[in-house]
Amino acid sequence: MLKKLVIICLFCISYCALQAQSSPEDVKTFTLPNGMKFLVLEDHSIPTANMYLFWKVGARNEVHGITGLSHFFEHMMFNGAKTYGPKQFDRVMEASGGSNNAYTTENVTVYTDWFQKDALETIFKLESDRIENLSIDSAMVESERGVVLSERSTGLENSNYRVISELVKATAFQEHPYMFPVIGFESDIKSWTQQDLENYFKTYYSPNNATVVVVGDVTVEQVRQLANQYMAPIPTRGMPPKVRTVEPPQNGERRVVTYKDITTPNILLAYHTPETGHEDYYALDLLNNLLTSGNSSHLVKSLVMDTTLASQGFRFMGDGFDPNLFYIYGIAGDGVSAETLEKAILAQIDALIKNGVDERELQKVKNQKLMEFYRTMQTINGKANSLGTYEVFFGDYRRLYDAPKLYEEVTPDDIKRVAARYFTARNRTVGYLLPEKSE
Amino acid sequence: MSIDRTIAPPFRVIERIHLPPVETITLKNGLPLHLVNSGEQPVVRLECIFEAGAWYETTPGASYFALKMLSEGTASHTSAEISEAFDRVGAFLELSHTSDRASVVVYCLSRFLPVVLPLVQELIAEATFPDKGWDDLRNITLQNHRVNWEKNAYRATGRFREQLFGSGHPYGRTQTEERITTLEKEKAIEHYRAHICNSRYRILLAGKIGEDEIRAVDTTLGQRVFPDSNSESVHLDFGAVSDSREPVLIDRPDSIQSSIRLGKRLFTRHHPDYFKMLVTNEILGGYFGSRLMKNIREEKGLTYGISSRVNTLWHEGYFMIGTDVKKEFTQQTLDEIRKEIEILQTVPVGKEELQTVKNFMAGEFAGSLNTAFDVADRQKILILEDLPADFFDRYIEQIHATSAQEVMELAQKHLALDSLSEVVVGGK
Repeated sequence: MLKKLVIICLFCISYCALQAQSSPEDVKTFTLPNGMKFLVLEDHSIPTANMYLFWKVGARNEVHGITGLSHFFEHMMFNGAKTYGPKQFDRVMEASGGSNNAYTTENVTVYTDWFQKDALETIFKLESDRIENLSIDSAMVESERGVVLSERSTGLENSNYRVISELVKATAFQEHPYMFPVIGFESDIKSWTQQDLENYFKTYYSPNNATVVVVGDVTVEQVRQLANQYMAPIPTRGMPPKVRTVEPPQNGERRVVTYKDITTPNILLAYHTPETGHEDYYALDLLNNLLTSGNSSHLVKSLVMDTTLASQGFRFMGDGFDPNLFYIYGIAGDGVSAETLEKAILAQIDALIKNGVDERELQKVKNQKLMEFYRTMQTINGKANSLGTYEVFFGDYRRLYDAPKLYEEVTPDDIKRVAARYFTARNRTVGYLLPEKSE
Repeated sequence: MSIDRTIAPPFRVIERIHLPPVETITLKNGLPLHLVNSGEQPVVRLECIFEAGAWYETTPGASYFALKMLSEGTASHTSAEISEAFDRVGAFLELSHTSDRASVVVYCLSRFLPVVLPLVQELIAEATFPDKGWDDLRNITLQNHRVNWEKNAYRATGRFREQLFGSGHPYGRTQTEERITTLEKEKAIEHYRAHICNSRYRILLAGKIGEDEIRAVDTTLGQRVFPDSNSESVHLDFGAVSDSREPVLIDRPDSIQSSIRLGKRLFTRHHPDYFKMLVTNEILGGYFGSRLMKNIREEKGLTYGISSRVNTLWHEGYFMIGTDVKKEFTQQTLDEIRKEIEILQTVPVGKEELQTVKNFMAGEFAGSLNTAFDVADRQKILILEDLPADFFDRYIEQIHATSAQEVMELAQKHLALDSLSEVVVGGK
């Protein structure tokens, strides 16, 4: 019984703020013999800590028939293992004053645990149990299948972006598995087999496929000792197979249209861009801000503020181990056609390619990036997620601390160059989501 | 080495948290400046809080538009110039509107605070409400409303609040196409003059703050002299609220899902049952391991998520259960929700479950105070709602003091099934 597991002591704690900023030297790393890598950053600002487990498995590791499995394991990992039965992961964690969540992308699945500092060992026990001995119970699978189908329906019903982005991805990628929606195709969700699940887990949940980040009111030695005790005995299952498919260059504009009960058209433009970690990453990310960050940005100013061609606009640059997409999304204003909005967006992009940006405007988005960086690094969760993201996508967490400098080094010529290189008609996929009545 | 994974290590439950105090300074012109000075990063958040939300408006929508128009133009700068000025230094401007209050919020690097402050002062004191800005804002608001109106969840929450408070009440009013298109600019200007431009307000500065930052605030926001009169809560007739508890069903044949809302009016943080009701709510639907989640998501797989919440506003509050389910599961879900409430009312919660909830709430509270901004958010509640300084210091103590018997009694007292209003958008 749970109450027997918990020895409750009461104590008082005070909040104290850490005044010094962290540096790369403050992050301690070690790798267990089974290949599981740890990054630890002590932060004693509040009496809590977190553990972020980055697994290098996402939609890019899937094939037709098993789409959505990466995301499904984000659910199944909470449905019982050898020691802690169904739902006990959540229950034990909640009983110890902690909580958790997880997210799945095209590239990674990340499990996030937040807990009061004295529960660190409990967290190690919970995590090691499910990594080593996850139970894939068929009754649980069926129940969770229903939850995921509901999640998919809710997302598509309430987000027009979801509807159009699924279609655009599937059109922009003809060969690479980035074509798959992270949540999976409905028919696949309904038909995954027990064997599919067991194979997938054995293939991708091997300790050498994980990077674990711990940040908070714990010590490096505590983490090292518990990692050796609980994680090191988990056997390595061999490295997962590499994704071999390379998307060939797109050599011509692709267009796709779909319909929904909406009031004004939504449009989505997608351009192929290189993998995260590429030398153009920082210039592209600043270009990202130049387009739609703030009311003075190119697209917001021209489409939303100066005119009402669009009611909303944003952009999104997908992270990726492989080359992914740079998205530009707009919701047309009242009486504005999709074609008109598309022309207006393309005119802004063409102007950027032709005229570039001046130092002053570039400095503006560099300031924004610096502000975003500091805000993220304010919290222990922001630190853990950023350290893990840089370690996994850039191959070195130290690059996180270099980020302000690397953004600062981008020049107006860099912006003009990457805009001209990637924002071409041949490299573009255009999606229209139109009101039903316009058909 | 073999590991006995059945024995969990001992850990200690958080019993008390001390919220860092806020320091209050009075500026030259009498405005209060509240300071939360902590954090390791060189960023600050400046918040100017006005008693200027929907509660104070005489025409529906006037407070929203009055606030949002601040950045559409001033005596010295156009809308584009204002945006450019904030963006240039990487500052983020938020014009935050609620039923109770309106706030001008800026996040910026500490070193740019002196650049940002004169702009903030200008927005507050010199907004000109230009015609083009007014037309653009109205068009954008209308478009965004139409996009949101397509979503069952948005419609359901709006209709639910209207059902509880009445469409004339500030807490029950929702945006409608008619209200957006017929609002006269003069009404927004009147609201601006009465409740923002000529009204005293509070300033909350959080982050890494030194003498320079305080001086910068005093030499800008602290200079303008205000008229003697101040904005007061006007007692308005908000119209009658229907006593009907008849379920509301908004049928949308094309929807695959239904959005369900179930709940009732409740109370503010001042109510003696407040903390214990938080525990009661948490057990029912307040966290991932709640009874509603276990039953409706985990056991039956009917939904991706279901939750309940105690929402506290300045003058009142409300309790709401919300979820999205496939249409064919709507009635089954409603039945299960009611069944769970009945169980809560009739069977004392077990020791283990109650202890889990208390531990979870304590841990979550401790983790929610990570940054100076988090602390400022808590302090803001104390200041604006006139709560005792030790209110949050006692939070965990009060949570731990809640008994199983009290949970049952509160569920009977505050969650009587015939007192709950039901709204479904989608279908049954």
